[in-house]
Amino acid sequence: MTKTDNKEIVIIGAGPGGYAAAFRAADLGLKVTLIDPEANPGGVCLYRGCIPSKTFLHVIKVKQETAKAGQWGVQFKEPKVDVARINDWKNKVVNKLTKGLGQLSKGRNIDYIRGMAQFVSEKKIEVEKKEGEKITIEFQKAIIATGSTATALPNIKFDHEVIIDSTDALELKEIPQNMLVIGGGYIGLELGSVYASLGCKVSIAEMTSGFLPGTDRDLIAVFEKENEALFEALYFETKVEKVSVEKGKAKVSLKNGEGKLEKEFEKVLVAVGRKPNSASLHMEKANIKIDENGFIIVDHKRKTSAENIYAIGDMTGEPLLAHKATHEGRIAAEVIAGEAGAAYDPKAIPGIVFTNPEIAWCGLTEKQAEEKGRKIKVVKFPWTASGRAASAGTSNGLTKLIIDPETGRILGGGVAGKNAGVLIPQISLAIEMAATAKDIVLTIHPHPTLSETIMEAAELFSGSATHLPGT
Amino acid sequence: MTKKDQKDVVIIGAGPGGYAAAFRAADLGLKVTLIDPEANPGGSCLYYGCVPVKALLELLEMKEEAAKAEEWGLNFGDPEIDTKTLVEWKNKVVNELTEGIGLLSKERKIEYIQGKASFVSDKELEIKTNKGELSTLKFKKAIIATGSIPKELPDFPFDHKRVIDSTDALELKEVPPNMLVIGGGYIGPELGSVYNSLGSKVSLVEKTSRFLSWVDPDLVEVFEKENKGLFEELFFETSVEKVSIEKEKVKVALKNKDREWENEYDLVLVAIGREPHTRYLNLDKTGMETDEKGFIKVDEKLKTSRENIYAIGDVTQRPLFANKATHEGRNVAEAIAGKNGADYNPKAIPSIVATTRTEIAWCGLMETEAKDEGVDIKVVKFPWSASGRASSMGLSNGLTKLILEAASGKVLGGGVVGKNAGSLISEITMAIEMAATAKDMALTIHPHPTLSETIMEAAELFIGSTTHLPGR
Repeated sequence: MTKTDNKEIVIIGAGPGGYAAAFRAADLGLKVTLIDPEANPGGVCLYRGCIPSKTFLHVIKVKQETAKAGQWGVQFKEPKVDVARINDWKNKVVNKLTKGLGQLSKGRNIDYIRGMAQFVSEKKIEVEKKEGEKITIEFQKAIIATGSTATALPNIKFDHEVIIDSTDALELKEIPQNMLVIGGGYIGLELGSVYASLGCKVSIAEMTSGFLPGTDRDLIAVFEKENEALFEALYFETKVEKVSVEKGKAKVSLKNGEGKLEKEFEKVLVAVGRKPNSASLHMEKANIKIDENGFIIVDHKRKTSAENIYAIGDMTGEPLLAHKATHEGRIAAEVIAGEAGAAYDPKAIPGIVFTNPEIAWCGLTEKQAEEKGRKIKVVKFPWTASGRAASAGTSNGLTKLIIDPETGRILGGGVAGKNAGVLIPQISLAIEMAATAKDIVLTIHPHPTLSETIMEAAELFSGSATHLPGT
Repeated sequence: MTKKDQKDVVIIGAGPGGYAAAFRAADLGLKVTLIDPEANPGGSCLYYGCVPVKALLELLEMKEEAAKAEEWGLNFGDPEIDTKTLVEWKNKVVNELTEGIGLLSKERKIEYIQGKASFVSDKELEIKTNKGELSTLKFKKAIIATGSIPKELPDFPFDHKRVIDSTDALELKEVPPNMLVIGGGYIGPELGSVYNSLGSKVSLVEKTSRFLSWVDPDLVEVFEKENKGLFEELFFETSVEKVSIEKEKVKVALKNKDREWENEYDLVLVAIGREPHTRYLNLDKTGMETDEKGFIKVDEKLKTSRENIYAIGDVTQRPLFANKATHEGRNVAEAIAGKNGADYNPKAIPSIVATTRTEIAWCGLMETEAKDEGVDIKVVKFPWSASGRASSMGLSNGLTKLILEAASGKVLGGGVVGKNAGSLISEITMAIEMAATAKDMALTIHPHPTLSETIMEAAELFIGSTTHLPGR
């Protein structure tokens, strides 16, 4: 403990939530201190999450799409895959983006401290700098934005060699002969797709009865239909009882309704979810209340139970998505800067699984409506009836809207198919703007694009759509 | 003249306007007759326009992407292109879609007449079927939806062999060693890039100083930069003085402010615009008014100067887009069926122009237009070099801009350029129609990492600063 300092606003964690908060706060005239163990802002999303995974997924999409093109007259050879080069490309993208964020941070005169912080009290943190020096910092306001880490399974420890997490998987040192992915959520599906497409025999074990529990099944069906051959084996309603590493291989005991199964894999990727990254924060010293899952309890201003401390992003609970964190970060910064009306009140948070084809949704799902007993009308437009889908050779797809039956107001939407994710922002905007099905119908959509499937789905609410049989 | 009959609604032309009108009218309980020379509905858009062009672009775009992928660790080498299979694929897409629309028409019990119609009066049509049979047909209401056809060069008509239109170009009968595209509007860059991808050396000549002269220059600049390598030579501010054919080659005399010269090409594609397709309609027999360019004059209900005749799509006025025609078609059908409030009143009509390399898209008010009209605007721009998604796709030369009402922040227009730019324009169109403000866009959570974040971040600039650009 050498120096003490009093800061206007301290932000712990420089992921998409933390750096968005820091930049917004600085732009609103506050003096900002941003603390993170990495050399530059970026967090899990840029270093070990969204960006590297999407970079890989874009590369393998080129591989998957070119493989189809021969039947259409453009014959590509099977590409030579240079794994080291793919990994270099990913690192190049990550470095460029994180360095860019570092410069934006400097340009805003943000005091960036490379280190780890923990609370000493409601007014004070101790920071262990990267180089080992410890300092204490007093602050007027703090924002906790430390994000989340991969959850381990109770009896299975990561050795980061054979039993790996998503961070290890994104290092892409080599492509193993075979791999088991535990967890059929979005990380399992995305990373499983990358490895499978690069030649690894990927199996997936999932506790529930299908991929992406919680997502409407008709959307999942689109992915499944296209990817029947992508995975070696799928074990649904299956528990992983035990994983042991013997002679560099993983022995896995699986158990489901039919009995037990012993399998051997070169790698096991555990992707069963993420948990708040609070282990070293000592939040109890600042009287910050957390819920039973360890997420920080916050109000609509993102304020915690401690008057001067805010929390954003994965630390405040589901959905654990970068764009939710960024949004919360800007809101928290505006609240602290005294901007009138700044509050966290989204009606729709979009989610995209960047597989090929993609699965995306926002707002109310059919399943949620059912659980809540809420009356809805669901309209669906299959891509078989879309000219653009046909011209892209991708008629396996579905666009659906979840609509209030009384008013026609859009409550939610889902899309599955090649590039489906691009359609979701429009549906999110429609939900936020309280648009009705009629509003969407009367908006001229460009032709020929997939966005017409949103319009035609909406047309079904008030009668008939042009490219489906009359009603 | 054999049969006489009186019909509820007769629709002349079965393109995206005509068949949308027909289907909506039938679904609202009207008895519909639909007349078109093709075997199935579809019109220019499906047979010779939007759909086949996009099928080719979508496929050939992969070639560009695969070439880039070498840097990303995938080495494909050059693909082999089999033009015959390519054309078969394109035809298959067109056939499946038009046959599908034919089925939808039958299921709706629409009377489909394969033939051409011309007016005898404002109550009666003469029909010549493709088999040559003549008949007349009386109608209560008619909708004209005959679309448009490519414009010819003033002194040199298409010979459809060496001097071709877009329809000929899509046949892909040959991939010439070198060709000239006349016109840098919607069609020229798209088809030019297709022929480049198939191996032609393509040059392009354009009268104005750039591609898409009516679109904001900052967007067009990026579009040109991205597409530069696709064209052998680009001649801007250059006019085509003369075209002649000598020994299977086309001699083209070109002129700009500095010089006059002659070039020789194997093929010349004329893409200088389209004109209303009214030639055979005998509009004069109805007493209907047209403007000086031949477009049919309509009111906000899309009614012509004749009480019982409507017109939709390309025959009415600019822009000549399928999506506008479809929208109008449904509106007119609703108006005829007596639906309240059915009006043509869009605030934004989106456009997209794509090449094998990139796309440009825009909707609503353009910055240049606003200046001409004296609208007080604020323009916000987000360059894709600051987008994580663009980086992860190996893109950086893109731009997203919003044109906002200066006082309120209301979104009045927008433009996007870059690969997949077209996918962003629907959201901006929706924002304009919903009277959304920049703040509404900024407070809508956009998925990460996607290009749609560039719209949100552009909007954030209106209310202060955005995350991924320097602060102020």
